[in-house]
Amino acid sequence: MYARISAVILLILAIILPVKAFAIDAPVSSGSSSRDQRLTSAVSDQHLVLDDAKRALLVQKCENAQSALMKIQEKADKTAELRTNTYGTFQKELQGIKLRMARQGVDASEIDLLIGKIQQGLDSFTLAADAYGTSLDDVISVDCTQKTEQFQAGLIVLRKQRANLLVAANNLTKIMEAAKQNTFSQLKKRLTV
Amino acid sequence: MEPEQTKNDPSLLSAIIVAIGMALFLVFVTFFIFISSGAYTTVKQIQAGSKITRSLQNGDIDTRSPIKADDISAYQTSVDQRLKTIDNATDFGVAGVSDQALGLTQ
Repeated sequence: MYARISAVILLILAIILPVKAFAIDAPVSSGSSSRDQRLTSAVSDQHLVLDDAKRALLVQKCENAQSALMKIQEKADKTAELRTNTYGTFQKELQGIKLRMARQGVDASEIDLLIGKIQQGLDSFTLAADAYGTSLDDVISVDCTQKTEQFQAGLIVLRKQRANLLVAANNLTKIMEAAKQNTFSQLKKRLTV
Repeated sequence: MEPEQTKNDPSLLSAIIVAIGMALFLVFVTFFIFISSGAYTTVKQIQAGSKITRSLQNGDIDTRSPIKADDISAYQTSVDQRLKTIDNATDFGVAGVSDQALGLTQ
């Protein structure tokens, strides 16, 4: 009887419990050797082969592109910092509202949830911004006339990282827009009653 | 006269053990369902929010004056205005690093 019960329990557990694989990202390190490794693996991952015309075009124009990317990097650094500051200010202001409501004896626990969501969004944004910054560094620093494949592969990675950054930035905006319905309307109702 | 216990009937001790086993099983199943659910994510976000709330330095932020529903409406408008100045597509859109934008076209 015990064997049957144990078998049934184990079977149900095996069905219910999802098997999760936890992958640990390797730390992103800077430096020319790790950059070279990253770009070399990007070339092989993408099975990148350039034809003569494309290679000639890149050799001719890649240095100008790197100059343009430097300006983009400066702007991106400032923009990312500004974005982080903006949402950090939102968090502080929300905390202020919570404290003011608490002094009146009004519950504002939704604000904790909103601040937590903003923090999660900010963490994702920071990670995406770091990855984007690393890929920008790679593309700007590579000797693009000699290592054309690496430059091209780096550009593809850069675009992917920028797309991830856009998703993270949009997520932050959506959190604040959703707060109108989920948080602010609730707070107003409580303060009106 | 009480019926005699046969060999196949479970004893009181084994019945208790099975009951405890089933109870533990149900607790574990409930726990894992909770861990996998959105409710747990929400709890984590609230915990994170509370932790951050305690660590934030308020600086110039008003934390003492009385607050009314109109103040929340005014704050919401202020948030909207600041969000309108944010243009994610321009700042982080992929078009900004396209071949054309970088002059990598013929």
